[in-house]
Amino acid sequence: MIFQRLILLLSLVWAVIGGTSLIIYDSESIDLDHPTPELLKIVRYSESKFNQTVVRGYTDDDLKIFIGEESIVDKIFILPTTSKKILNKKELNKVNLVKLLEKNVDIVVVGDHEKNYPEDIKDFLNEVGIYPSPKGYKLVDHFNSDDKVKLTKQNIGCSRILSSIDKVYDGQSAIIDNNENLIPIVKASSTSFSTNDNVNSIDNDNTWGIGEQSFVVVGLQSLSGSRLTWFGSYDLIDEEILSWSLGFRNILKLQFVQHHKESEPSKLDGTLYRVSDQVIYTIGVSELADNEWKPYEVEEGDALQLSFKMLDPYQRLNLQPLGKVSSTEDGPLDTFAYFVNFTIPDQHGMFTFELDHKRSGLSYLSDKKVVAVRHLANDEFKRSWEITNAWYYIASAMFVVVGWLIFVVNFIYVSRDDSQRKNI
Amino acid sequence: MTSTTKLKVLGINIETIKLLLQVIIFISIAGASISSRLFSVIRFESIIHEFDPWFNFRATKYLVNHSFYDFLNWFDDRTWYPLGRVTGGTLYPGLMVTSGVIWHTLRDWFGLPIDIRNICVLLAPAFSGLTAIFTYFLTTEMKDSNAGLLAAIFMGIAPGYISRSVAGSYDNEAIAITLLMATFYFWIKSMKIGSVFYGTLTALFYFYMVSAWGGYVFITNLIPLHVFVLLLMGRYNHKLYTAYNTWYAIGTLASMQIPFVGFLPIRSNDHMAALGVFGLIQLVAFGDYIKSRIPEKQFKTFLTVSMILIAGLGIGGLIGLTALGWIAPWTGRFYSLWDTSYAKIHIPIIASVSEHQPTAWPAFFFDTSMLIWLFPVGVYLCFQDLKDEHLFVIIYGVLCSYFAGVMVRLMLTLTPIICVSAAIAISKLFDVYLDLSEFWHSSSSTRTKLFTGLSKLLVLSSFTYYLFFFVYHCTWVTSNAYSSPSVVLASKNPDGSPAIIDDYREAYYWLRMNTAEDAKVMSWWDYGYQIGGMADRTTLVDNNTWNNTHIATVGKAMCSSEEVAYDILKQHDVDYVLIIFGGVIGFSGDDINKFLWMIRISEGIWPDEIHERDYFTERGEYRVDGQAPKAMQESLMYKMSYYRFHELFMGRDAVDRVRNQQIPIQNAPELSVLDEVFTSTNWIVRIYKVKDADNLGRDLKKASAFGKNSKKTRIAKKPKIDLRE
Repeated sequence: MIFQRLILLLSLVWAVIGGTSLIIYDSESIDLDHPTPELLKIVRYSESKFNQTVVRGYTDDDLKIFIGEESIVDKIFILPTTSKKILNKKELNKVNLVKLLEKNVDIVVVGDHEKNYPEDIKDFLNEVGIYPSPKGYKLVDHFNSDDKVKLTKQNIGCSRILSSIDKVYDGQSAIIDNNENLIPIVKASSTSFSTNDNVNSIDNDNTWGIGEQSFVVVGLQSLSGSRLTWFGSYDLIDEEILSWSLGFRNILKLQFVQHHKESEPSKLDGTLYRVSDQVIYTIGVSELADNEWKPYEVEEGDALQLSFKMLDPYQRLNLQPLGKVSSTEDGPLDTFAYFVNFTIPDQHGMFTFELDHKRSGLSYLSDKKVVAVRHLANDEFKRSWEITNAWYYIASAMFVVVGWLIFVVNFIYVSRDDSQRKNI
Repeated sequence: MTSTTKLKVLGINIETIKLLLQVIIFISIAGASISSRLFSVIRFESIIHEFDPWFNFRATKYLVNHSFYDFLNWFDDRTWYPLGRVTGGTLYPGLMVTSGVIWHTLRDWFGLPIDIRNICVLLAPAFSGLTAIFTYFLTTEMKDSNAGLLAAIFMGIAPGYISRSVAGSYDNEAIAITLLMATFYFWIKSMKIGSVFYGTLTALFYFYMVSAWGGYVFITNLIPLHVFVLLLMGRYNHKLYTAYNTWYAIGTLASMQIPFVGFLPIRSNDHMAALGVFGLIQLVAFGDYIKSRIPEKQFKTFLTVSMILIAGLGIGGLIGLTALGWIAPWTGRFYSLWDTSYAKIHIPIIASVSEHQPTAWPAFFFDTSMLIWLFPVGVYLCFQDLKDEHLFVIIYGVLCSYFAGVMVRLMLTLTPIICVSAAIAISKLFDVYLDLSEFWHSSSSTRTKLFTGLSKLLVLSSFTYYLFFFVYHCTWVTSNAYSSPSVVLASKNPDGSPAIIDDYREAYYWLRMNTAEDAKVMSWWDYGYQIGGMADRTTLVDNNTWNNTHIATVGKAMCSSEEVAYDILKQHDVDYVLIIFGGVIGFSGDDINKFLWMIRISEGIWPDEIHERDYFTERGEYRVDGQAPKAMQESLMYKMSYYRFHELFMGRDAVDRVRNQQIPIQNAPELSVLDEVFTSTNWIVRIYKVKDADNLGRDLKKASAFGKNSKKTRIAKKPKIDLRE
């Protein structure tokens, strides 16, 4: 087992990025001493990127993913297999795969139109919303001379993940459902369809996806930040896509979120505001690129948006760029700060500063900060004499008081004198 | 009694002895009324009762921990999430301020650092002693001090009043009845002697009353009504004028200082009677002046013309201003006073409160025992005298008898006048039958003496028996019916020994210790105050039912399917849902029994989505068993109530002990948007946690079903999914 020793040796060498990757291959038909070129390519790639690369077959009894509830791997490659058998089903099953995505393990699944998926892998993909065509189905395009599908720049579904492609493709495709977290990375061409029947005319029963409803590379961005990528065939594996799949880039991070009254910049993140306060909301966002955090500047025509909401948004504002800042004291300028200065609406209640930035191809940013907005206190209103409208009423009251005094004086002294005089 | 014939016993002035006896009687009465209210502490413990008192207690704690200024401007961000409540401006602060003052006095001046909870628990009994004293003064004004003492002891132990003032019943009524009696006493006093001083005292106690209880409107209407009747009877005099104007001017200005009342006294219809009578009495005074200056005949013409003018202007003005919206229209509670079915049709939230239901007739006897049949006698005796102050008793008695018949809770305001008139009746009776002086005069024959003596003995002994029985009844009712805190339930073990069901506190304590401090808990509004007070968690709705729509929203979440409910829960940031379920031990006050009200209230807001009919079977029955309708079985409330219920029955059909219905095993509900996190010992309180949105973007029903059924799909079938957008 020279190959395994090689792996062991290599794993001792510190790789570019830490972490452990697990490659699950077809151990029934591939001998590790004579690996297929596709497998070798993936192993080499993995070794160049990770601390440790573990290669295990579907039927190996030492296939281990969990210790207790904790995952011991960070990335998993699931490669095509001729047999549908999984020996260690306790470790590798559909429920665990979903669990792995929750534990921020990135998963790459590679398909093959001549091979089956093990039941659990297929169920797992279906659960996410990816339905790869069954064994035997193949993507064809009769508008091309050799019935193969030409993949060009027009077939790219998400330009943030893949910038260019130029391939002639011959392999599996999938249809996907409307799961909002799914990202079509490479679509099939509009004249292609997937079928296992070369005799009859095509209809709904003997096809598996028609035109641009077929996909050959599909990604999934989970809410927790992990990614799943499905490739229709080895041919499509591309370093650019893999760097996205394995979380080396397009990862956003909220470095800080702060809010404060404009008049009290030193009091950060108070939980109590007053109606009509002037508030400044600031965030710092970094993006992972080339293995380090860099300031994230939103693309042209896009913007980070703040909702100030209580059940419904009362304010929905685009954040203004502030400039590059550092997330740590005396650290490098790794963060881009955005801010917005706005007036709290004249409505008391429990408001949420909500940031929700979901763009396909980028990891999601979301943040909620609940604050109370109180009403005016009894001594925070204008005094009556400051309101010009009230002068009229104040004057009336004064006149009544003065008139009453005059009346009393008149009644007690003046008019009594009169009556006395009359009586005399 | 003249000064020349001062009687002396053992060389001591008889007046001194009388005073001494009175003081001793007062102390005994106060002792009796306080001690009978302590049953709840002895039976259970020193704990705040029921629902509203928990809010008052929480507010009091806020007051003593912060300043009065903070309390006045308190914006409560832990209730009515996310609306919040301007608590400082929407409560009657009198009760909290009273406790706060007592707490500060004891601590700062006497060096007695008493726990605020104990002050709150014991405030109502302490004030009941004062109520007895003011009742004494009021009744003394009506008849004499003998009647006063009787009224005091009746008031001290009458269950109708005890029901709201046992130890731990820390509610507004606890001090409000005292203030009611005090205000009425000072009103009678000032009206009798025409004193500005007593008029001012009336206004001051009226102000205290306004600060303490929304029922102050009762005074606001009763005093003007008294004056109005006096005016109609042609009993106008300058004393009345002085007393009323002093009270109205000072009292109204003072009452407007309470933020919750604000400008209501000049804008709300409930206060228009007082304003109208204020105007009327000015006109009457003016007319009185004119009358003294011009001949009789001219005055009659003047009177007719001015009467028509004033009536026209007054009624026209009232209608006009109401139509223009300057005067607030009458509130729903006001309408329901006149039409008992009004609330049921128009405002389910008012009708859903049990204390707003019409009174059942045995309740009168239960709450006042023999006083209820002495009450008409007292009123009759008042008619005999019919002085100005007796008119007050008559009006009060007649009005309140009606109101008490309409709403159970108004029994409370009826009780004092029942005590007063019954005391007048009994004391009149005793005046006659306890007068044994004729035995000393030998004018009558022995035969007459014997018969009078016998009849007197018969009447006196029977009334002694009645009085004894009354005390016995009051004690029994107090100890058995009105001393339960309802937070802790009394029960019995199979062997008959007393047991205590403490599920509520168990659950609230769990919430307090196991959830995040800013967790939002959704429950039906009945438990809002308790969650706020005991668990200290943010609630969506509570017993201060100021926003019907918000309550309807919670009701909608409870009676909709999981998918609909989940959106509501997420929109309101709900973390936990708390329900009350009595099916295990047969506790009938649970949420399934209140469920119809949730449906009705939410149907009022969303008539297109919620239909009460859907929750009944074809034959119009309310069922939870196998025949329960689909809407019922799919409602979140049903699912939360019976989730895992069958596990108690080893997988057989479960039996709900409240509704005596069997829930088939195939009806066992499954929950996909909630996780059960806590169920109390007797299953009374169940708490569920709202699941987060699925990490992969699936809907939660699909997510929770995933991995459960291991049905294998060998044949690869093309899935039926919509086109990708």
